[in-house]
Amino acid sequence: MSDWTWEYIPDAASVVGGLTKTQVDQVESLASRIADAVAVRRIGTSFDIRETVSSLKSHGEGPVMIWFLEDYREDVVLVVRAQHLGPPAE
Amino acid sequence: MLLSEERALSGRSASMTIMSHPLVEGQQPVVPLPAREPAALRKAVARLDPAALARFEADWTAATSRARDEYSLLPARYFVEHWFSWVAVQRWPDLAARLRACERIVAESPDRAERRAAAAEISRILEQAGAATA
Repeated sequence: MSDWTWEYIPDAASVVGGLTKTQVDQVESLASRIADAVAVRRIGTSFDIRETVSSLKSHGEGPVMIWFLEDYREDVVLVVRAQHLGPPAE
Repeated sequence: MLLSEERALSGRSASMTIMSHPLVEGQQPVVPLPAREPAALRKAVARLDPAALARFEADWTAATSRARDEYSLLPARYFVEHWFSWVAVQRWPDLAARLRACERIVAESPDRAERRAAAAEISRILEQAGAATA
């Protein structure tokens, strides 16, 4: 586990509003794994904002694809878009 | 920059206001929206930014390698969705420039509200670009 967290931007309704509860759970599980991965990658890196330029990224696992940015000033992954590529969940 | 964007993204007045972007103001895209398949996307990328082709090819190689390793077609879907969105934004030059500006704000602004507003605008840009079918 890490100190990094994640949050929906601008809000959950905008990002996962059209998904089922099961699909939202999958999105949030992946968001947590991304936050953990970002934390590991930053170990040993000095805090210098100009060396940590955040760009929009996408990452997919299973049926879920997440679009995110990393806010290094607050150690938070900003989830701006989520797509569910699999069949509709129950 | 649009005036509404300046108000929304400047200093302590930053907010999550949903802003309009040039693509809804009658401008025409640089290229038509391609089909969601690699060959059509490659053609669009080549027209929009030939320098991006190397990364496109590298991503395709990585996606197909991962697909083989995982015995799954999903990595190819991630690739297609990623580059479809890239094309959907880049074919509107003003929108692409605004997305880059928002990325810089998220990376560099000391103002939390300004960073959040910029990230929210990126979310909106992706939604708008993907919805534009012209």
